[in-house]
Amino acid sequence: MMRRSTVTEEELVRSAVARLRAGILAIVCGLLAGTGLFVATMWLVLQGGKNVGQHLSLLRYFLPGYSVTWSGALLGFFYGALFGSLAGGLIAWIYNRVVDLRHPRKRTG
Amino acid sequence: MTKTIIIGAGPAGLTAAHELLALGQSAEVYEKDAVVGGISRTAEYRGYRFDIGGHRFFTKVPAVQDLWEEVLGEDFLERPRLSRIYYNDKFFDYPLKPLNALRGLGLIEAGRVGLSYLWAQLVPHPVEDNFEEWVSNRFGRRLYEVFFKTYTEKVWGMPCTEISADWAAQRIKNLDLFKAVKNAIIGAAGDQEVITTLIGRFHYPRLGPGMMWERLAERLEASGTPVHMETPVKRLHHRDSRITALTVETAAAGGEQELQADHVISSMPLRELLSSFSPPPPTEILDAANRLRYRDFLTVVLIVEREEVFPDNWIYIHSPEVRVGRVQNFKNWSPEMVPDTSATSLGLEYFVQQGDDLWSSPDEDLLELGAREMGVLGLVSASDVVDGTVVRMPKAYPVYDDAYKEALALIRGYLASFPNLQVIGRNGQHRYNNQEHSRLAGMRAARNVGGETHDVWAVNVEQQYHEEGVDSSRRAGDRLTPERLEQPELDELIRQAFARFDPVALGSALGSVAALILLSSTVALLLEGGDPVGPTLSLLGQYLTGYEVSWTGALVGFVEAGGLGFGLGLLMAKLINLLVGAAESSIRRRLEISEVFDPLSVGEP
Repeated sequence: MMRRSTVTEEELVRSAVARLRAGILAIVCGLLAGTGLFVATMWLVLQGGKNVGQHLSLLRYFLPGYSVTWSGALLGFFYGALFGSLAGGLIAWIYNRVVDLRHPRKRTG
Repeated sequence: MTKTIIIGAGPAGLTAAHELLALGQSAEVYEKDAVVGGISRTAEYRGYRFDIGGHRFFTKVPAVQDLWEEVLGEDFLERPRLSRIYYNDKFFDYPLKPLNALRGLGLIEAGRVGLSYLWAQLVPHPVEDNFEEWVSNRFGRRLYEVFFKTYTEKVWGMPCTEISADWAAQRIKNLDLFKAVKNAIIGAAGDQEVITTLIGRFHYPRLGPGMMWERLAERLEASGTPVHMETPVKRLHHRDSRITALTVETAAAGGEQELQADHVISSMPLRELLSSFSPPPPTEILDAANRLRYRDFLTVVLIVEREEVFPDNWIYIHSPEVRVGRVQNFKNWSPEMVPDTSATSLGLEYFVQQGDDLWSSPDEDLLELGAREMGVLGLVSASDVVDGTVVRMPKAYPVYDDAYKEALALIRGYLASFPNLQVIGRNGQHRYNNQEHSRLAGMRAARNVGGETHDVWAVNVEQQYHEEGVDSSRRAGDRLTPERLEQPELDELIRQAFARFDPVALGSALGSVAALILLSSTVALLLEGGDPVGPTLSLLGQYLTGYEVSWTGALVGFVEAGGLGFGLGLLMAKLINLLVGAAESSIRRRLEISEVFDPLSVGEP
């Protein structure tokens, strides 16, 4: 479309590439994963029954000590927060490195 | 000491004179009319005062604001603004608000507007030469027909297809998304004055805009800078690319006087300026000047025996069944514009061409037309109109038609060969300047006489120049420095808020992490051992072809999870960018509507 661009800010804004804040993404992912695993575990515990959470408890192969119990929910929160924040931080770190490679920052001033 | 002759006692000329006075330079102002202020004057009829248009005082330049406040002091009122559009027997908020417009238009019409907008986005005009194409491409043809076409054609007196797209483009030149967002942020703080294109309040002299120029003229006279009224400049004499003298017509019958000048600052219309050159300019320059067109204006003032008529300062009349374009309610600009609070004075504005049927109509006929049209619109009953008058203002607006650009370029080139002549003001530059632009051009011209080098033509073109001093958060007594330091930080924050995600980068990040998670999970199970190894995780094989909990499967899973993660990240980034872009476009479009829609507003940046 042959529109006349007269707005320089438009170009400036559209050329800006977002960066991720690794710390913030780590905290957010950590909290989400930790809370998610805690709630999922508690949900199964509260439901009760035979072989409580037989599938979710398979996570014990990756998270030593984890089980679908009250104490397992707390431990699950810890593991979820730990691995979630690691994943979040890693995603942000990789994203920012790739952005830096593809869009080198211009020196200003 | 050098002597400067200033032609015209409008906002530009008087400001130039005031600035020269401040610089200790000698100047004289010559005005052909009997009233100062140019189109920003205030006329009076039996104690009712009214504008030629409606002149809000609104500046982003602290020096201009300071001068206004200094000149008028307590008489410089701050007034609320309400202006709406009247169309199809309904009022619409202006600036347009989506919900209000939707309610007013009704569902079917709103649907048509929406569909035509989508169509314009899908199949826009490939070339935007005229106003119709320009607006339709941005807002859709239906919205253009409802809110732009009738009014714009009333104003300019020609089909929108003959109005240059440049006019609209200039209105939104440097239109600033940043400022809109800043206003949202700063406005939310609630403790600072916000000056925006969508201004909700404005300043206005207690007795109308003419009060400002009358006071300034008095001040100039008192300080030894004469303002000669009813003294038109007849000829500008030039030699060796310099204006050497001017001939003015004096009060004495047939009397003329020749004035020597070191510098000349002119705000007279370019056509008149060039035709008064002695010797005359080349024929091609005179022809170019004659190609410049102007739009003229007349106000039918109706005195209505009602305390309240409508709450707006002015109303845009889009209804095609009447010829009136805008109705001012002067009492709402300042209560002291009327001598008797039980009455109201309305200014019905007709955009005309000198010599056309309206311009040539007797005042009585125009008063009758005005009263009749108010009745048709249902705003005022004809029987409530008790008196009225008519004011005609020639050359009120320069016309941006197909020919003006080339003609103006030729004229500018020619005038540039006279280093001691500067042209300023709306008609002086044949540019749709508002008061602020005119005053800035006047200030710059005066400073150029004082030895500085400013481009007076750059006013109203490079808005950035004078918006550097944006005073959106200034408090009394503050200077600019703190705001200037904060400005880049705020700009950067806004830029970050609308920054797009890099799809490849987000894809790479999510892909890498997904691949690592699956690889490490698989390896962990393999190291743990058992029979069978990781039966549950192996179920992923139903989604990842060839995946199983084995050393080979770990590699296959690494690649496939990486690919899936990459795809997911890519899509996420694109979706986020789409939404961010939509938010940004929405803000920008609202700004564009407000800028383009108000073709005759004076005081808009």
